[in-house]
Amino acid sequence: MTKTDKIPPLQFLFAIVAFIQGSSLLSKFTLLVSQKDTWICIINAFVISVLVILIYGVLIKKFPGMSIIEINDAVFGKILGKIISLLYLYFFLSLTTLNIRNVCSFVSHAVLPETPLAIIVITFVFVCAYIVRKGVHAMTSYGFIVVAVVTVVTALNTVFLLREMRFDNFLPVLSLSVKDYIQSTHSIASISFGEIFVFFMLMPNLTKPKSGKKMMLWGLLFGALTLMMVVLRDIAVLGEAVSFLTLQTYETIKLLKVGDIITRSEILYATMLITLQIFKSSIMFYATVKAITQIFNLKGYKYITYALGTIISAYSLFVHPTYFESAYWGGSTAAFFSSTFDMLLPIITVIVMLFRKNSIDDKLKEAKAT
Amino acid sequence: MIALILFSFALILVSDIPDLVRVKNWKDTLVFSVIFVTGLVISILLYAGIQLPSPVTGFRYLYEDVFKLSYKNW
Repeated sequence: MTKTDKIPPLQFLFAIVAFIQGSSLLSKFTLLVSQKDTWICIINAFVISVLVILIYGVLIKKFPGMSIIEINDAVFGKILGKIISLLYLYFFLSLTTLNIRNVCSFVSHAVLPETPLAIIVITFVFVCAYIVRKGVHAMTSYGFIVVAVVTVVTALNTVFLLREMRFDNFLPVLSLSVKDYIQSTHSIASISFGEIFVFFMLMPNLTKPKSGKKMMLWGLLFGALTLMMVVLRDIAVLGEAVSFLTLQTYETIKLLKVGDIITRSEILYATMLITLQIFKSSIMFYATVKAITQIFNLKGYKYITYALGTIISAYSLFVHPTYFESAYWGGSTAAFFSSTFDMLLPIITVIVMLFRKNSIDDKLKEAKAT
Repeated sequence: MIALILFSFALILVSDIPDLVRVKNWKDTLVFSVIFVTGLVISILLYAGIQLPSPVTGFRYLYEDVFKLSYKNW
C-alpha cells in the first residue's frame, strides 16, 4: 500500500451506501420473522444505529485517523488490546465468510444450479482478493456508479410493480408478539446496519479523518432509505407470502412484467446483487487483511491477500454444513454474535477510554512528539 | 482435482514469495507461511471429504447453551 492510498469523504459515503444496499440480501431473515411489520423494525433499527454511530463518533473524535486495532492498543494497553483485536479479527473473518457463503448460496440456487459451490466461491473470492490488492482507492472508486444504478433500477422496479401492489397487505398492523419485533429490530440493527463497523478499518485512509462520523450517518440514512423502499415493495406485492418465501425480493422481481417486453428481469436483479456483494465482501476482506497486518505489525498487506483468500474460500465451504444451519444461525444467534462486536465492544471501549482519559492523553502526546 | 488445488497453491507461492524474500522481510514471510499452510491443509482436508467442525457452530453452542442468548430460547 502506498502512503497516498487515501479516499475523499464522498467516496467513503457512497461506499457505505453501497454496503447497506448489499445487505438487502440478508433482509430475508427479518422478513421471515416480522413479516408484514418489518418496516416498523427498520425505523427502530435506524434509530438504534444512529445512536451506535454517535458512540463510534466519540472514538473517531478522540483518535482521528486510527483504525479500531490501533484504538484498542491505545485504550486497553498492549496485551489486552492485542487480545481484543484478535477477537475483532475473528469477527471480520466470520463476517467475510458468512457473507460469501450467503451470496454464493444465492448464486448457486438462483443463477447457476448445476455448478459446484466450490467453483463459485473460489471465483468470487479471487475477484475480491484481486480488488483488495489494488488498494482502497480502487476498491471504493466504483461505489458511486453502483449506488446510482442500483437506486435507479430499484425505483424503476417499484414503479413497474405498482400494478401488483395491494396496500391492504400492510394490515393488520402491530399484530405480532413483542418478541418478534425485538428480534427483528435487533437483527437489522446489528447485521444489516451494524456491519458498517468494518469501515473503522478504513479510517486511516480518509483524506479528512474527522469526517468519518458525518459520512457514516449520511450513508446510513441513504442505505436505510433504499432498504425501506425494497421492504415496503416486497410486503405490498407479496402480502402473506412474505412469511414462507425464502428469497422474497427475487420472487417479487419475477412478477415484474411490462407488456411482453420487460419480463424475466430477475437476472438483472441477480447481477446487481452480485456486484453489490462483491463490493461488500471486498471491503470486509480488506478489513480482515488490514487487521492481520496491524495486529502483527507487518509492513504491507498485499502479500497475504491470496493466501487469506484460500482460507476464506475453504472456510466458507464448511462454515455451515447445510442450508438449514445457515438459516438457523441467521434466525437465532447471528444478531447476538454481531451485536457483541459492533455494539457491545465499542461501548466498552468508550467507557474504558473515559476512565483512562488522562493516561491516554499522555500516551497520545508522546506518540505525536516522537 | 488434487493437481488443480496444488497447482493453484503453487501459483500463489510463486507470485508472493520472491518479493518477500528479496526484501528480507522475515516477519511477513512467517505470517504468510502460516496462513498459506493453514489454507493448504484445510483445502486438502476438504478435498479428502473429511467433515471439518465449523467454529461458527461452536459459537452457536456458546451463545445458545452457555450464555443462553438466542432467540430460540425465548
